[in-house]
Amino acid sequence: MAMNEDGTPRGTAFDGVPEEGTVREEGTVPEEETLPCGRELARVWEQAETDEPDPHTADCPHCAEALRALRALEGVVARARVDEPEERQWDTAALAGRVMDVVRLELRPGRTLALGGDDEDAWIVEAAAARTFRAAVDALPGVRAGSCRVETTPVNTATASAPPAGRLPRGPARVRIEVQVGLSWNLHLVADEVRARIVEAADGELGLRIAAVDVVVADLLDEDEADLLDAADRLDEADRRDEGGPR
Amino acid sequence: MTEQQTPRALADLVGAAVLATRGVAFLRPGLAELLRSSVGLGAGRGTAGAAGPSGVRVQRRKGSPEVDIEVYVVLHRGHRALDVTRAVRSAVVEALAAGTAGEPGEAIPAQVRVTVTGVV
Amino acid sequence: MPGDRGRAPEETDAPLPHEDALLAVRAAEGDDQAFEALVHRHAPVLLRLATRLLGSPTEAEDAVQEAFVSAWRKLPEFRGDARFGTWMHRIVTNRCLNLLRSRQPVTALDNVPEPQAPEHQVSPTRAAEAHAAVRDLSRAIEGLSPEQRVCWVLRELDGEPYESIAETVGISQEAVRGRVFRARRYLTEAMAGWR
Repeated sequence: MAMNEDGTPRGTAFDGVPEEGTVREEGTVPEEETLPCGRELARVWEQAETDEPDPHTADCPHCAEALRALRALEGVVARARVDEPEERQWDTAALAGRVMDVVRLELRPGRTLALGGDDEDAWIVEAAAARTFRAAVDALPGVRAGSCRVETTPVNTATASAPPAGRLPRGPARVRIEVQVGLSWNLHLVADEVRARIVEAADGELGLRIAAVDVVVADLLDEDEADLLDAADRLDEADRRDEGGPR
Repeated sequence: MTEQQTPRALADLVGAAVLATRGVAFLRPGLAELLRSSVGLGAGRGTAGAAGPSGVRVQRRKGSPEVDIEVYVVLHRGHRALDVTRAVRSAVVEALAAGTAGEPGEAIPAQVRVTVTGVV
Repeated sequence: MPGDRGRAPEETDAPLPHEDALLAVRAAEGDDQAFEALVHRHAPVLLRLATRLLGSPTEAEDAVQEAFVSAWRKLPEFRGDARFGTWMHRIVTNRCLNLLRSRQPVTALDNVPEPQAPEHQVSPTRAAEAHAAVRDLSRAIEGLSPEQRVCWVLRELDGEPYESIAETVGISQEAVRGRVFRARRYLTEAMAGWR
């Protein structure tokens, strides 16, 4: 994995910390500890963890005592896990609300695309157009939209007036969309369907002229998963209706 | 523009007209939300501040009575975005005319730019 | 118990891994609603993880909140070579590790704890006894170094394989084994009174 996280370059999470033996707590537990029978404690515990059979350990009272200590600890740990609230009992609504408050101040709207005619000063951000296109594609059974990029290509760069700063020049839009597709689809057919949905949505829901739609099948879904995702789509749709947005 | 009508007062006038337009869910989240949100999480990196507190920005042009108005809106799904931006523009123009009614010849010439920043 | 060990963190991901991948792509391209869906899907597991690591639900909430905000900022660089759940697991773990390190040392150098004997002598109920043992364990965990604590929690409470712990915290498997061993050694000592 090439990801950094938290701005920490990979593999340095423990850097800057003195190694064992020099740190406050770590020095108090010996690096190696040998039981009176000559076995190393670490080795005895490791064998227990991997269920590796060992005739010595079975009969040795010292090893038995060491294992009893480990088992007793594991017993309390198991109990601690039982005492934890179950996953679904965590209240995540407030947390999600706080996260999204910050996120909405740091939106990434993408490029700004022109709507309507040359004399109109109307625009839509790429993220909003992409959301509309994804929703239109998701409505196809067994199809889910992933990446969706939209850009405009000026019809005639010589005559087109320069767009305001940070905005794409006027002109029909080119859409590139990646889809996950259920196995029962014919891939040519699904590309045509996706294209049709996007052209329809661009005209009917946005008012954006389309020059071309590139459809990339990024992944195939087995039928069970495709069904589940369609069911999830329907739930999302129901949620949206429940929220009372006009349709 | 009359001297009484500060850009801020005009922005409020415009904001109310935009919000009353069918298909508009809300103005783009702005400074109000920024101040409300939790502190210390790097708030302010976004562009929210640029549009003013309500997603409406009003600027006078130098040496001209004309004002530039920028409106940022989030729409409800199910409304055609281009049609809503047209309705928003009409609403803004009407509001400006009504806001200066009783002052003959004082209708404010305005350049209105409408940007859809989201669909919910 | 050894039976519940050995799951890699991605296996504890929310169901429908394709769905996660898809939502992550959308969020990376600026779809905040897709990101909100990811927050809802992953918050419970991450809150439990952070609570185990930090021992405090309140601090855990803050850590997870900050981890999600940082994930939103870094998503455009997220290429999907790791699963979203694994990636978040790593961000949360490292944030908790940093928080543990910034805590004031509670105890002095010589902190091998006194064995905690059960305080009650008169036939307590088994449940009360178990409860007291769990309380003593969480107290004893405070005596571990941040590095030991993180490795031990991921191993014993989260049940992760050594290999994925090593990857999460960016050290060798041997180093993870060493830390888990020293944590166990310390904790068996601390809990000696309960045998």
